[in-house]
Amino acid sequence: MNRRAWIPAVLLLLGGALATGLGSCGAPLVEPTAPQAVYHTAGPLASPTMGVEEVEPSPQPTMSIHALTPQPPQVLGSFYERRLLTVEWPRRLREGDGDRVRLRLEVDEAGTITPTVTVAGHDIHGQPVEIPNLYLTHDIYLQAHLSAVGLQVEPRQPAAALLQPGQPVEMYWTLRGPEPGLYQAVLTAQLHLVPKVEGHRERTLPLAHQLFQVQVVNFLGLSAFWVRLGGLFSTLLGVLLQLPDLLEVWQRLRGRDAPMSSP
Amino acid sequence: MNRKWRLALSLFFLLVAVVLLYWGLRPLEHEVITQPLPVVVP
Repeated sequence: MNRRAWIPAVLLLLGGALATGLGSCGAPLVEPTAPQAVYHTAGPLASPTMGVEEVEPSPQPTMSIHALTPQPPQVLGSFYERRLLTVEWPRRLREGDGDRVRLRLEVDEAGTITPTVTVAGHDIHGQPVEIPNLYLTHDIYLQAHLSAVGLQVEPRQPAAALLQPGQPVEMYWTLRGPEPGLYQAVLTAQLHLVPKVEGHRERTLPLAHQLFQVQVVNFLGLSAFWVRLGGLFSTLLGVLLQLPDLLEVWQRLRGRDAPMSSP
Repeated sequence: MNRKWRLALSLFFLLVAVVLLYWGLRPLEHEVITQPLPVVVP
């Protein structure tokens, strides 16, 4: 066999090997394009303004989880202030005793209900409230009035307090029940907007009308003062009745200790 | 009045005192409501 006859065959084999090698070497150059594409898709997902439509082409499940996470509304935080109106009142009053009614307008940054009283047995429920940021243009006053027919309320006049941004406001009234019975009380609250600059008008915005009942009770016809006095008197009487026996026991103990203490 | 009667009366008055003082001094229950308010739009 002629040796030269092998040369084209060898050249062909070498060419094929080179072509295969170049093909296999070219693959790593192409592969990074795929992660780059994923990276570019994942980048905008971190943005809070990203829409859901931009997420759908992504094949990665983790990206869709990131995309479906609800983003906080950035706009509301700068224009609105969330506040809660909390009213606390006594369900029962002892005859002759006084107790307080509390009105609190507080900031709720999380947008959820914030309990403000930690006394056991209270029912707390409600919703957050959004109030536009009017502090720049207005002085905002919280005005409230408590009226209860048959009960003594202090102060009788409507109360007012200036609202400050991010600061809670509290108001207190004192209720006193002179006679036993079931009484109705109404707490009215409103916002009074006084403009700081010209061009705005003075406005009053109603916030709440809270109706509640207060029951005034006594103990066998005795008011709270006489019940406490009776308790004190009974304590003294019980101790005085036992006083001779207590003295006797004390003298016995003293007499028993005396010989032991003497040498 | 013998010792037993004094002891019984004393315990009776002390029991009455406990009941009266508990009723007269216990903290009163309060009710709390966090009320929804309207959204104020200027």
